Amino acid sequence: MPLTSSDHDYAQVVHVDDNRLDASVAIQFKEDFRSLTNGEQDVILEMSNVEFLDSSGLGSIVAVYKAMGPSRAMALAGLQPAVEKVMTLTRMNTVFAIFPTLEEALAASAAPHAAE
Amino acid sequence: MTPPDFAISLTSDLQSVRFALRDVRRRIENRQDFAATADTAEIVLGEALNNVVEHAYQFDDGHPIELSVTFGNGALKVRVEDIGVAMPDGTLPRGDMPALSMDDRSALPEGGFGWAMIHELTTDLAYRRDKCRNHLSFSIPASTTT
Repeated sequence: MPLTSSDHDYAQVVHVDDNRLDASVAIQFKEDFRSLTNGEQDVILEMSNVEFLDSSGLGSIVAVYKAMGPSRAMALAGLQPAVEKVMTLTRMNTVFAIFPTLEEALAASAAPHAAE
Repeated sequence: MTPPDFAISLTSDLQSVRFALRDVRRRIENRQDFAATADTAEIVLGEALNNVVEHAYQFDDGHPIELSVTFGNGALKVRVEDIGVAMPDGTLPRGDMPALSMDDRSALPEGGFGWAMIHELTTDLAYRRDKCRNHLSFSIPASTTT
């Protein structure tokens, strides 16, 4: 499950390189995501490559979010229509902050620190 | 009964499901009146086929799954058949969307969304066990916008 990570001022960005996050890669996604995000930063999951998300892929996103512990935030960015549809149907769009683009997600992660 | 517009045979592994979904998507997108329904169809069929692999065949690969699709009047008519184990109690799983615990992250559900999405996105959802065969059928109303 190819994932690419980059550190920004107020968030770590994890980019999903694959174009499907489905049952066949869900377990690998969980393992690889956890090993990449063992720090303390908030995380932005950048999904603009992902054309298809199924319930197993969604479950794996929820699982890694829970594994991050209660204090770290996770936002989703760049959702394609089929992915957004799954988020809306399952109401997971009420759990995660969702941004149209990575730039907007990064701006939101910096906003609480603007006065520093 | 009229023959389906297309039928796809696949085997019980998750890679075969991926290939089948790609094939189905291409065939649906080629139909102008159903192109806007391709996302919904891929979501529903992905859940239905993964369920067969995971539950009917319990991840044992190489077993047959038959999928057929008919372009109906305003809806895709879909049938999925396999010869794996029957649904629990011989009936369709319930389709309630799992509740979300907004104030307790550790209690968020990681599963239970598959059947809920199938119920939500289909009509005429039906299951029957006939001798050694599971028959799942449903309709997916055509979307007018993506």
